[in-house]
Amino acid sequence: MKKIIQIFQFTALSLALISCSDEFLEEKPANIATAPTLMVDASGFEAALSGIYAEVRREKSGQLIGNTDKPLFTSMMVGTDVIYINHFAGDFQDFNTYGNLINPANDHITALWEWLYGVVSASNAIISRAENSDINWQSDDPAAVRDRIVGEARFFRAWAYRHLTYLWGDVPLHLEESTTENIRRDWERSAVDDVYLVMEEDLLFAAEHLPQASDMSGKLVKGVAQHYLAELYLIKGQYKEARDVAQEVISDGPFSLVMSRFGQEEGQDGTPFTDLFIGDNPNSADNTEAMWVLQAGYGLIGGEGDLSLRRHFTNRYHDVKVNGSNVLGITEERGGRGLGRYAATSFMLNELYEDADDRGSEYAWKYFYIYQNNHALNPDKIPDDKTPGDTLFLPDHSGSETTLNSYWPGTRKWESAAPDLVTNARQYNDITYLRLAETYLLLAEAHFRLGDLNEAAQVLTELRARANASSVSSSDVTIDFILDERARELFAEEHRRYALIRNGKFLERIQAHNEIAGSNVTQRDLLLPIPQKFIDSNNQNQNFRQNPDY
Amino acid sequence: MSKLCIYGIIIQMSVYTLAFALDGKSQHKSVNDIEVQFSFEEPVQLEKVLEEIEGATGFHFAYMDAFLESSYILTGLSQKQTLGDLLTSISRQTDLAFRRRNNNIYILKKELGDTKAVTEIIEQEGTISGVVFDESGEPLPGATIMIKGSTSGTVTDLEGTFELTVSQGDVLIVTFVGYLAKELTVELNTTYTIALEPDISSLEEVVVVGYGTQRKSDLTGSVASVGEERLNLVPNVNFTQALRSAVPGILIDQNSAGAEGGDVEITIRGRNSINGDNKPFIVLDGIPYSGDISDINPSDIKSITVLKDASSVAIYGTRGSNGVILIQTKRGNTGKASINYSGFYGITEIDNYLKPLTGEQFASFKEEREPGTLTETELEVLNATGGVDWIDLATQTGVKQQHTISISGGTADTKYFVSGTYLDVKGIAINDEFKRYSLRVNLDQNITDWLSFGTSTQLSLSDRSGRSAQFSGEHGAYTMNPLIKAFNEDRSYTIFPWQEDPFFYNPLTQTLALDDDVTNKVFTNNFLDVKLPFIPGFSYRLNTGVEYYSWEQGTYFGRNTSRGTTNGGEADVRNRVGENYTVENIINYDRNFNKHTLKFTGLYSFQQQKFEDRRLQSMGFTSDLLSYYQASQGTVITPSYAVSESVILSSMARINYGYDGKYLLTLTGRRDGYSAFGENTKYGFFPSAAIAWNVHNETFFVPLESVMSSLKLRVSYGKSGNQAVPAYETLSKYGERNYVFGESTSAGFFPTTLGAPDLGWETNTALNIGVDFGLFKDRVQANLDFYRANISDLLFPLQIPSIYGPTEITANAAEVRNTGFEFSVSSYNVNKGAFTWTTDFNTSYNINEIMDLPGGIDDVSSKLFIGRPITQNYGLKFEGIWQEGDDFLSSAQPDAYPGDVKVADIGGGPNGGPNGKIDVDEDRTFQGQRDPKVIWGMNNNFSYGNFSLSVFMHGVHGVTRIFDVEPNVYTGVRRNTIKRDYWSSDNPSNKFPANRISIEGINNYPGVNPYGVYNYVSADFIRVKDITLAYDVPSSVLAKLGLSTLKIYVNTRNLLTFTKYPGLDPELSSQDEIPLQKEFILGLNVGL
Repeated sequence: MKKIIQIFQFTALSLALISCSDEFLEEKPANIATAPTLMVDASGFEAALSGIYAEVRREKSGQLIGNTDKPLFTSMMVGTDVIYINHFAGDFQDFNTYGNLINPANDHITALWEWLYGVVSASNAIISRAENSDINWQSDDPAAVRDRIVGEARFFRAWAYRHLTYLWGDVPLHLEESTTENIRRDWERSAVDDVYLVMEEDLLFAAEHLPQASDMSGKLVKGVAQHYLAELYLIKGQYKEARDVAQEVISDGPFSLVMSRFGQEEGQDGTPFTDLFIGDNPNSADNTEAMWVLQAGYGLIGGEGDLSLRRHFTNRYHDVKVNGSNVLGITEERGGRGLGRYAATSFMLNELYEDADDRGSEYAWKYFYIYQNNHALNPDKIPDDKTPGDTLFLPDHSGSETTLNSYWPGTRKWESAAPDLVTNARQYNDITYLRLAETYLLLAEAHFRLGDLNEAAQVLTELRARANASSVSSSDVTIDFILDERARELFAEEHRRYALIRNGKFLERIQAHNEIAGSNVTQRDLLLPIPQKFIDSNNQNQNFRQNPDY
Repeated sequence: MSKLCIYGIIIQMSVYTLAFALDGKSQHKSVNDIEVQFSFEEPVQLEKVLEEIEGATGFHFAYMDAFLESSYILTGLSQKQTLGDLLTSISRQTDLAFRRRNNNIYILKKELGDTKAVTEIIEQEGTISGVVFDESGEPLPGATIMIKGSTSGTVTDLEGTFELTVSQGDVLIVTFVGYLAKELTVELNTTYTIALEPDISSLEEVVVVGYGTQRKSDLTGSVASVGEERLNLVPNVNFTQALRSAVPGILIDQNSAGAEGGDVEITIRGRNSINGDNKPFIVLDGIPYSGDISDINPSDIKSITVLKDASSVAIYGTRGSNGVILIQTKRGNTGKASINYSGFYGITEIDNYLKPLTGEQFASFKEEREPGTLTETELEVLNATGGVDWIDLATQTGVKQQHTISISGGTADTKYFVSGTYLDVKGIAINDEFKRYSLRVNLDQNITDWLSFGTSTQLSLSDRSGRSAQFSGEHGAYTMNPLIKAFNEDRSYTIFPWQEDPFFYNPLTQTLALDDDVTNKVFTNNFLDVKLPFIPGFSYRLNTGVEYYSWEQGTYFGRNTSRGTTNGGEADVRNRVGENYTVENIINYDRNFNKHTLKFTGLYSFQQQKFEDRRLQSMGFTSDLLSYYQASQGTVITPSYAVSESVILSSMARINYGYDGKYLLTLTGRRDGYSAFGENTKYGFFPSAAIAWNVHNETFFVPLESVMSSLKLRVSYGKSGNQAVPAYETLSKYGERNYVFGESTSAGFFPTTLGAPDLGWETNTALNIGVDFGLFKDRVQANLDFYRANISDLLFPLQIPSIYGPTEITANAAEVRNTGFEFSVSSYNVNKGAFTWTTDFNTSYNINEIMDLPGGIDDVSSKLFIGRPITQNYGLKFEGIWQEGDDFLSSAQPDAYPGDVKVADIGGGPNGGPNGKIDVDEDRTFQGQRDPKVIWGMNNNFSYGNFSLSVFMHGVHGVTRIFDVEPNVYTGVRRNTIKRDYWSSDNPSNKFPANRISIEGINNYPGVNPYGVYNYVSADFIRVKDITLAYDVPSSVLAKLGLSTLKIYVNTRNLLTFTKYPGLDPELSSQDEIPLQKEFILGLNVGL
């Protein structure tokens, strides 16, 4: 029996020994970054910022990472007076139907919300960690480096709240770094005015500390912060401030409208306006108009952004049939593989452009195709009575917009093709996110709101001149004219929903100009529903307010 | 012949070589009457003289080597003399004396006072014969008859008879494994009838349990074993094929029936986890095994034991919850070396699969569905060849062969088993191949009487090179358009088989990719056993395990493949290196005190698991010349790395106590510390207790014995864990989110995970009640078990308000329960003359039920419902097809047309009944489950003389799987589908809707199935899995061939299936993978 006791003693000793070996069980992952290991010096902060740049680029991508469908920009521009859903995929036609499909469980709306708050959280982490005193800013002027980095992070936070407030109105205002310990489940919605205050401070800080220009393509600069500051002032009704900031961007910044041909197709037929969107031109040194260009690159690590503007906006020409056969092969010259999911309403396509306007020309919209026989992989099936070089005109499109219509001309702004694979779902060219033309339009809007119609007309005329459009007089200037002008200039670029909402024209113009969504959209749709997933998990606030009528 | 009897013969055969009948020249004369004449060159060594005598007379000298240590030199022997005189002469010159007994002359040391140099006993010799029977009067082949005190003897033949040369008065010992030995003194020229009595105590099977073995009668838990027959006589590529339905409670779900057959999911006693792993813990020769099941050579396996109840698995702590599979490989036995060859060769044929439409059927299907959409290419192919049968092009007759040579044997101190195996499978999918080369060395060496060393080591090379054709997905052979071109005019594969639609790739071209895929693996377990003499019954084992593998893959898609063409060549080079180490300190104490038996096992162990994965993907090359070796020259290069490391520190103690063989108690406890758990929850403790009562050992049981020969009751209760959490899962993480500025990459990171410092294991608390009984002298043996396992703390993503970036953290937040019965029975049905028939049957029934989910509410989007199984099917219900004349307007689908799918209107009404409209939230309903409720397996073995036939069947019941009512062919009918009985006004089918996407004159027709309803159908089946016919060549023939065993067998697998399931195969969980195959195998086992 004594021996048995000895054995138990030995075992007890073994058990005790284990308690001393906690360090064995500590995880030291070699390949995983965490906030405390990353944000210790300036390059770590830059990497955290690059993560946000990549995340922000997802606006032009699919709903999920690695995906091209249900792009996040959809809610920002589709289902408006100028864009409808043509070739819908499965049930994804929310913004044609509005109604039941726009509901708190809508996965696209949920993803959009989560994506934006993801950017808020990542920005918060940078902003709060930059306050640590032991950061190595790797510079002789550490304060300047820190402020510029914090400025970028604060810009992104304001950028995210801009989307959030336009789309949902009052939203929870989250301004701390996210950790497991500070998770709360009793969030309230902050009034938009409170959110605007934070946005204003953030944008002012960013405008103060961001450089006028950067030698890194795609980096945020002062003018971008100022542009959105001007827009924020317009929302808040501070029109003078809006005018002044917008004017400052135009007059004092390094940017100017591109008035002449440039870039890689300079020698071919085209227009200065359409040059802005071709190939590498967004990043070109001659492109003085681009203020913020989303960066991408085929075959570059970090260059794959799952961008899907081309997929969604370029016409589905490979479905164009002659005598029952698909005749057009997918080629790079035709703009790559377009699925025509989103398209211009008939109003946009047929009513907005005067004949001379470059922005309505064949260089901006695809009205016809040329038969060719030089593409090895995807040759055309040229009808017997045609030869290479003959033109295939899309049929008359003056009628109403219809769905699943492969014969509906598409915008050429996003034409592109991956060099090795013309059928690739993704696009890899840089995308101009913000250009000075939009600041012109903000300035015109501010002048209009201040009652300075002459100045407004002057600004608009200056912008229109570049596209060979006629000049306008003060009597032409109405808010509808400005919104029309925005569409002419910024179709498929601007956040159309926001411009309509800011100017109180959302319902009226959709009902007037979108023949599919117009009869479906209601007052309720001014705001999206708060995702049910958020409401459910925020279960310590039983009185959390959903937007009306959802 | 009972199972034990078969064991007996096998063991008997293996020791047979020890006993051999002495066949010397009989010497009946006295040494004094035998004359010998030698001419030695004197002086001569004693050994030389003895050798000469042996050669000349046939006598055999026996002595201890030590006696002849001093080299004796003799003189004066070279003359003619009698052997007696010669020996006397030798004795005089040495200190040796001789004692003759029959043909043997023993050499002894002369003792003081010994006067006689040579003594002599000559016995009378003659033959005896006889027959040995077992207790029921059946002859016992293979029984050993030895002459006591000698090495002479023989073995009974298949009729149980023997003949032996003996001397008058010899004592015979008759033995047979599992029977009491019998001694008898012989009379010459007599025929004996010897009946052996079974030895109940030695019939005990010994069962491998965690960290040791136990006699079956001492078990308190629920443990099942798969014997060698099921392992050896079916041509398995991996061991799970032998395990399938062989013991109750194990479900083996197969995904794809490729050459390797390794794509399986094993669940024991139901699904325990929702988000974690349901895989059982596999222990190979005592060491945790984490690799591919296909890398273990099944022909090396001696036994597989499955631990199921809490008491058996709790000693595996955080890894025991899903059950434990213990695999023991073969080891050497004492005796002469035996060399065995076993091998099989066979062909495999495609079994049933969903036949896609032929070209002509497809053309009319397409014409009907979307008139006028047949493209030029389709029309051309239709007119020229009638269409392409992609499945036919993608499959072939498979070939499967395996060859194993093993050598085993040993002495008292050294035992070895060495085997080499080559397996080569060419699957039914073209270019789907699996080769494995493996070498095993198992060694047990006694170093001293208190120290021994052993190893179990396998080296293997698994070669999975080559890509099969693509079966699944939008470019797969199942759905590829039959009216496009598989071949160019020169018979090479087309890249884009459909000129009008470059979206579609040729599913066959990937077989042309260069693909090298080789895994090298070392799995070695080395142990030292130390017996500590100062405490009787106490021993220590140091057990160490090393698992090292390197998986190397290099793939190149050239321009002769679709992928290669579109990407300008595509290279993928990958290397994964894993290193796992285990060190276990095990102490054992095993003693009996009168009627008390006590066994204690203690463990302290350390295990580290680590892998690194390095990969380089590259595409866009100027040529295909350098295949994947040109990875660095691609235009798009994507490197990626992964690393993972985890540590488990464990201590465990187990006490087995027994009283008088009647009352048994097992107590275990294990404490596991695991690095991947949250920082606040690193350690878990898992106790268990079990009791058992051998009722048949009670005196009151004696009157029952004639009917019920044994009865045992068992109860166990305890906890085990499911480790579930992968390394680094509980940390806050920033994921890679890179960006470019201009052309320069900028490393980017973005918050992706919030930490979970409280995250731990899933806890399985289980009760098991079992009864084991034998009827009619154990002719029928059965086990019945009832279990209930509550698995709590299930890992579940817990939603957090979605403004923190990551929208969920993983928490221990759900609960599941499995309740079930298991029954198994082995019966010895017929034993008449040369004919025997035995049956083994097992079945299990399991109810899986979710008990709790976060917040106590159903997770409808994940189809998880409290009170329902994890694999619940949930959706709108298919209710047939709308027919002409139906009352649409007052139905729930007023907009439907004849030929549309009818959906059941189930809920939403005032009393929970129908509400007259279809809406997804109200009308979705429960439609069966994907895990079966009942599984069973049955093996019948018939033998007649040297022939034996075994038939293994299994069945699965209570499974429901999804089946499409509508073809998914894309717009423009671009994909193929199977033949369906479509509704039309002439054919009012109630199973499938009309084949249409529009109706003339109807705007915005939403299609025949606007709600996307599936049909849920039963996937129950009964399958004749294996039929094996074997012939043992009789020993008389073997003797002529110089062989010890020779067995020839034929096997056929998956010969017959009974099912109503309309899909690919009810046994496969995937519906568009490589189909299951029928196999026809010829096998051979030869022993030297």
